[in-house]
Amino acid sequence: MTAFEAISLDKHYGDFHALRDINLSVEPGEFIVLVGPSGCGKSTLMRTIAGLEKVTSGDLKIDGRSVTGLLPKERDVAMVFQSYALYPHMTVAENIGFGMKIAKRPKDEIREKVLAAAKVLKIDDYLSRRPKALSGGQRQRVAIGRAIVRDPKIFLFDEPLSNLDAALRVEMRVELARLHNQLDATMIYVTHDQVEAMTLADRIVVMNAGVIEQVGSPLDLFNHPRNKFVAGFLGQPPAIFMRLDGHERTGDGLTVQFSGTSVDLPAPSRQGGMPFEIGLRPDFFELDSQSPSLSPTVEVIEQLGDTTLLYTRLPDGQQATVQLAGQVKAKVGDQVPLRVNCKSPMIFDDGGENIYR
Amino acid sequence: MIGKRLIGLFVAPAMIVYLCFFLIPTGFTFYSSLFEWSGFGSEAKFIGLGNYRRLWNDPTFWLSFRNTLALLFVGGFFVFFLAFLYTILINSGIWGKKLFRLVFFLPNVVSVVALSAMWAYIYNPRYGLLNTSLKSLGFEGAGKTLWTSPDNIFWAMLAALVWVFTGFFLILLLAGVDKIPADMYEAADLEGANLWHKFWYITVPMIWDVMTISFVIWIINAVKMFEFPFAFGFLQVPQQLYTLGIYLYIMGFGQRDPIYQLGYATAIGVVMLVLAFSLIVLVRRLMRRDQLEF
Amino acid sequence: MTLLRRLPAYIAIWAWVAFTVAAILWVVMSAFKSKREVLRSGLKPPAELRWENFETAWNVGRLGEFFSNSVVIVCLSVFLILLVSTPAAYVLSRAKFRGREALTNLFVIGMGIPIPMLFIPIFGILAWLRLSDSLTGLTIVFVAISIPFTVYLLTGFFASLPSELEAASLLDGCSDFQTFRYVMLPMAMPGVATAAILNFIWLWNEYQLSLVILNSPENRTLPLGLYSLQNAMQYTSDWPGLFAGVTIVIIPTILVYAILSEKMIAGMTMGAVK
Repeated sequence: MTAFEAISLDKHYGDFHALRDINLSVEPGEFIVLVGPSGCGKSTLMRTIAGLEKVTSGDLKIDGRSVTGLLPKERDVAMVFQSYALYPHMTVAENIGFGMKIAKRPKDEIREKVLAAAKVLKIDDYLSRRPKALSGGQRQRVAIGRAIVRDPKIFLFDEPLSNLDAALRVEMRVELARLHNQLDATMIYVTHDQVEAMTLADRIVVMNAGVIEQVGSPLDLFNHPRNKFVAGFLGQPPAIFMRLDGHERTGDGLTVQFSGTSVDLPAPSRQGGMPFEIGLRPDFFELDSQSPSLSPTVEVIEQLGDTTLLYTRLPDGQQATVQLAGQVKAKVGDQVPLRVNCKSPMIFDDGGENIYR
Repeated sequence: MIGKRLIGLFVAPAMIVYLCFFLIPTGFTFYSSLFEWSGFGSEAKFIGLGNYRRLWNDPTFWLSFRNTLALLFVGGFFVFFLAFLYTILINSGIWGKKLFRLVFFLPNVVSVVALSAMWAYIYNPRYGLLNTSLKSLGFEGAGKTLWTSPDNIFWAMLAALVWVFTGFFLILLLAGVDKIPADMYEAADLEGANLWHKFWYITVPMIWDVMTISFVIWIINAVKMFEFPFAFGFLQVPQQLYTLGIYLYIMGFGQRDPIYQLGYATAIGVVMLVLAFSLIVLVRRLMRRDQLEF
Repeated sequence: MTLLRRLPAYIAIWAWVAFTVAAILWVVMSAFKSKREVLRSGLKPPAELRWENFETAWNVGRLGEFFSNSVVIVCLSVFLILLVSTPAAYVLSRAKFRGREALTNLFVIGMGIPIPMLFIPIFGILAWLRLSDSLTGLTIVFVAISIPFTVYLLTGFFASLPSELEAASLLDGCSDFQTFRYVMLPMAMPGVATAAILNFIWLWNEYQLSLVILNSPENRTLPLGLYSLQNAMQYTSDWPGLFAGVTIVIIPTILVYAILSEKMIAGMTMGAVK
């Protein structure tokens, strides 16, 4: 049985089409991450799952039961908000136990469950404090604790780490991954941070303009993006795209020409349309002083220690971002001798679809 | 997510009280201003715009109207001049800002009857604070002024009013100024702006909305002004102190002897409302401009 | 150097502050003086504290009775105002329904209506309800005239609360009433308290509608009592007695103000400064 299922979901706000024909099914225990640029509909999708927004049409199922018309409290989901949404007038313990208090559970049971959840999250020392007296990370833990005691069928996370500073964000990210393993719960997570998406997800759902662009495991999406949007969205620094000057289908592969060079690729995995653009990730370039096929001019250098980023311009005026292993000695104005090694080829047809998918 | 039942349940009590004891009475004023009506229980006679025609030819009405306008514009000029002046002074980086704010607003929490008793004594020609102070400073002539004589009483009252309301609007303007980011003034300092530049090119544009609201509040307050001049006039309010509100009260209830010209009095009420709303619309139109985001 | 440059500012401000404080202090001081002393001693403090002036005002001037009238009617009114305005403001700021804005404007427009306009119709309605010259009638009117500002103030307050908390409480299983009762109302308490203080001070000092509605001496509120004391003074010349009355009237609001001025001023300015 699926833990969650969305069947041809549509959502309009007046004239604005926020979600179009969303179909998604989530297995029990899966960690699903919804990513996309702001306004892509990922938060709206999450809020419709929680029941905070009504759907215009379509059906939502949790554990096989249709919940489309149900109130948030009847759906058995818990949500962690970006701003944590802790009740400022209640202590940590009251915050975590509030749902049970509303459900009129016995006081002993509430105390027990709150303490258990607090121990898991290591906030049992702060139970009598108010949210104001807590740090950002501690508030985040309280918000998660509030979700845990509900023992919900699905955990929903709405950009939970974006209010934390960089160091804490990494720490909480690991913590969340650990928590997911420990609880073995179904989690749906919204973020615009692709690092969070890549590191946390069992499967990533990439959304754009109210549509699901692609669903798959992080590496699957990274290596075999369905289209230009997904290819450009995942990966940091982002992939660059270059117009093809020509292409040739050979017996067992494809040869493409761009910017004065040509690259031999294996056979496309599908027919697709006319090859139109090539996608190049920064690490597709390698140093080759013997027989370079490209020699772009360096415009900006970023030394990151373990790698070197070069922002370069090709003779025909196109820009290329190049990531080289190690500390490369280069100066602005140098021409760096490079060759292209497409580790996972990305060729987009005239419709923007990847023919190597 | 708030259900229809809760919406109804939550709005209804306030709405019912407000409708029955505020809005409907206001509307009724328009209706009754078309009648000659001399007392509750007595028959009202429809006379159309007769009351308004009478107002047009009533010198006491025009006196009250003029006083209300004087209050509105002359009083308003001094209130805002002083409020702006003290806003700049208090905000010029001096010590004790909160304390000053506290004292300036103080008259606004005191009963107007108490204030008028106090001012009556300040203005008392023989023993009052004002004249004794003037005399002790050597101004023998000025120290004999009859501040509450028919010629002076309106302006004496107005001075006291300015003292009360300056504090009120000072609070609003100061709060608006407090919202202006400090780095804006620092940037101006670096560019060599002086106090006046900073006031005119930063403060005024940044508190434009607060100024608009302040003007609207002043209009409402000035048009309905009743309590202070009424108490200031003691038992028999002299005509020099009549505002529209006071004249309405006198025509409706009389001072010592009942007058009971209820229809006529309500017509004055209608004039007040029309005056207030047309001035508010005018101010909003004059002060309208694009919203600033900062 | 900077002190010298700021000297004019200090002088201008201190002049105003000194006048305000001196005027009020002088009234309070005069309340302890004898009739002769008031007329002669100017700004000097009283030679001895004559508490009998307060006794006169309290008993002969009947301010004692009026004081309890005022306490009862003002406290009851403030309670009722908050009771009806808080839920209305909550719904107007946070519910989604058609006509919400129009309804809010309808409430707010009352702030622009000049109160003297209501003198005659209110008197008529209360007479019709047989509530004229009664504290019950005055209470109802107090509630009605305070609704526009209170709803306006609290609507702004509720609107400033984060909506994620509402969502969180829904997911925690609250009904719409429980969300109000356990989450939004406690969070709005600072606003409700501010509304209570402001209404307390205004109604404590209110006297125009009291003047219209109340007639019999035993029903008077404090400002009306003080007004009649002030008028009687014209014949008795009992300035100390009048000032004792003034002191009795102004002490409660000044006390409230001294303790809670920050909250009050924040509330006053919240509506105007967004």
